[in-house]
Amino acid sequence: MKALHTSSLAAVRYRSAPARWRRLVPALLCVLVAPAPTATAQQRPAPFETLDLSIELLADIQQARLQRHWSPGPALGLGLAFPFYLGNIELGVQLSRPSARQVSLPDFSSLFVYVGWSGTRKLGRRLQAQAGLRAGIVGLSFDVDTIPAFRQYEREPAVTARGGLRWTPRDTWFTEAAVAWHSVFTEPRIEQIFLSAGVGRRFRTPTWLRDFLD
Amino acid sequence: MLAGACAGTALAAQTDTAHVESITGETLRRAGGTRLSDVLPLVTAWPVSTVDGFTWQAAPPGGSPFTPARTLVLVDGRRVEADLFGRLDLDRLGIPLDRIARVEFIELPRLVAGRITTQGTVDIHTLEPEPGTSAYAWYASGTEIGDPGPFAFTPAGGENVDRLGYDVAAGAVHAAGSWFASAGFTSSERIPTDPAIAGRYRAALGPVPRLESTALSLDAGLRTTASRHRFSLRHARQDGVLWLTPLGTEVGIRERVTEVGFAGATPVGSERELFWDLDHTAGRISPRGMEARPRVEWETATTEGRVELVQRRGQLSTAGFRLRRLTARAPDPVSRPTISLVTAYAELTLGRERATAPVVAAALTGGDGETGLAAVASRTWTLAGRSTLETFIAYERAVAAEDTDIWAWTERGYRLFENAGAQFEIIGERRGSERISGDVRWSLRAGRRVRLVGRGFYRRDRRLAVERARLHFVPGGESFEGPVALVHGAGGDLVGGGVEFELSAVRTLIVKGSWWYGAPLRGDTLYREARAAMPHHGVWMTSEWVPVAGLELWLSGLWRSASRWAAFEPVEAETGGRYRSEVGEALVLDLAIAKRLWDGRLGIQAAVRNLLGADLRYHPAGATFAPTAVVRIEASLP
Repeated sequence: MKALHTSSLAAVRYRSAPARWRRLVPALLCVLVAPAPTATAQQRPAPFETLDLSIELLADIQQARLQRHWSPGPALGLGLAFPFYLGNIELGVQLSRPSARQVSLPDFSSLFVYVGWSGTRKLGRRLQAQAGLRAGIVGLSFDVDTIPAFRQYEREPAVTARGGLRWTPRDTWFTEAAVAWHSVFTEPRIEQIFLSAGVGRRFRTPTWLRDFLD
Repeated sequence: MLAGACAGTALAAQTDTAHVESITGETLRRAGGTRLSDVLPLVTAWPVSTVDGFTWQAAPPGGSPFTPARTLVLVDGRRVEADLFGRLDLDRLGIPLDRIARVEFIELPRLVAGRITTQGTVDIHTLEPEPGTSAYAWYASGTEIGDPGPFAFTPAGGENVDRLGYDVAAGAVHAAGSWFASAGFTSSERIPTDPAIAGRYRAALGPVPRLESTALSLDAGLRTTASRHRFSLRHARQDGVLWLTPLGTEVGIRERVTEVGFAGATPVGSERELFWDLDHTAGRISPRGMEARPRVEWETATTEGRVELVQRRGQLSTAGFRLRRLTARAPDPVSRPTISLVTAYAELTLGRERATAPVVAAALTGGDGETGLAAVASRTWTLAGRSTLETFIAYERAVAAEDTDIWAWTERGYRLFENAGAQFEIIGERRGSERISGDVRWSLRAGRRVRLVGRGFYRRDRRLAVERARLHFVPGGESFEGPVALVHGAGGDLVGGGVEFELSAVRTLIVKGSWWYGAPLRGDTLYREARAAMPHHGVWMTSEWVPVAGLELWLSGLWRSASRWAAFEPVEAETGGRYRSEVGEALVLDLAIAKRLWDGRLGIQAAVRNLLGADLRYHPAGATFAPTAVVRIEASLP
């Protein structure tokens, strides 16, 4: 087995958790939930009436404890969003595969399965801002076979606060750019800040699926 | 069940005259409960405790933290054996969560199932299903935050903390016009990896400790023109541990409990109804885990039968008798392996208007050369402004032969402590404990949506048996040892009270809150030490909201004051504060959200416990509770 500990690591000064993000996201949510003068009730679809399917690519720009030991690499996100009774409800997964910066550490795979809620605010005919919270479980799978099997896999709760812009050049297709603060409740915490870009398409929810969900 | 839950969004408020606290099965599931014992932390004014973090014990503020736990547990009116050596464990009953209609918690003294007690009664009512065939299944699992994740491989790495394991249940119900039958299966696994308890569990159960539980349950009911009858058969197997103070650690046990019960009611004339029930419980405990640990081998069989006549008119409202026979068997014969008790009881209503007339009830118990007596007198006054005032005065003298805690069996010759080499002694002679109690309860129904309650109580306890321990830390097994004594003859006085409110401003939202207080007025040192192990104050608020059909939200907040455990004072000094004798105050916030899908056939629930991350534990040597996420997926047909 590889040595698990490395004592020769250089001391690195970490920035504290991104407190400004924690303050900013609730403020964004308040703004988005507040009645928008340009949004009219009849424009808003009924709960589960539409389905937004999106795919996005994420890059971690945070420099913290995780990034000291692992190169986070890109992450891939797949998401579904439905209009809910208030705001939107989201379901999705986010997959990444950090690679170790030292030979003593294993690479691992991370799969974040989440449920989220978001609010939106129109900024123009084709542009809207959105912000929301996601909560779920992160499953971690370590590439090491010298420890018991039940230690090779781990799962921890995680939350994401996310804000972004959506541009809808055509009625059904849209593109998104977002920034997200992601925290996994390990001890110590895994904290990441993702910049993301993605595309998606809006569908009318099939009747059978709408009946299923509502 | 799911189908019922989807019928609408209205929530059931507490009934106007209820002086019991009732928690419905639906509320228990909305709150994220996955086992029957999860109902205990939901009771507003019953302090709870747990060592392992998975099984809960509770007693009302005016109840008893003393040996043994005297909480009475009923299932559909039948008394059942929910305690093992005086330790309440509702999960050994093997009742599926989906079969629960409601659980009532009774603290005020009144005649229930032939017993009068102020030590707390838990009355579990199972569902009587709607006609048709239905089936259900669900799975729940979760995780507690704080594992090191990838950092376990770095110099900063730490140990994994608790993982929840899983709960799974499945069952089917068929009901016709006059009868129903149901079958249920539940299974669960708990993984004790919390650093506060993990060392002891590994020492007891081996390197990969697991707590496992499996139960099968069959229920049937028959309703004829006037009579109704219920039958139940349950078998539960629990691979768990037993914490006993003189042993200073857990010992692994495999417990098998089989319970069969019958109950019925038949009219006798137009004004009378005859109730009867018969219950038999057989329990067997065998050793599990590490060979070198104390071996617990124990068998019991308890049979209890009851016949009761209830009159709708006349002064004699209830009269009945019950028989109880308990047999125990151990490797070394005990001196009194069979205990038989007979109780005769009656309740008189001294007035024409039953709702407000004075009520007097008494229960006389005899057997094994002892006589016990419990009596209560109560009266309700209707005051101005739609408020009522209820007063209760009660006297209880218990029969020592009814004590089934480990100390009582040790006195009868069970040699578990001797064989384990525990340091213990018994000081004094066991006599039935004695209690005098007084309760006052004022309630106001303000409109249809607001209910206010204020209450006060007094308890005077004498001839108690109280455990006196001064434990020392044993580093090798992360366990404790020390002289432990059972001292007979302790006593003291307790006063307390509280206020409660219930607000259901709209039909889809119920908010409940309470503050309770209980503290010794006077008493000897042992009495005060035992009482100090229970929090003196607590504040509890719950909110249950179904904004639209199929979407359910639960929010609860609990604050309870600190408690002090004298037994762990030496341990605190020896471990440099790693184990503390004071269990600190805590503010706990729980949140759950559930969404039903496909017209209620499927459901998914996410719950977060201890959302604020309070430093939460319930026992000096017990598990800690970091924020925990639980997910539950359920399905039901049709």
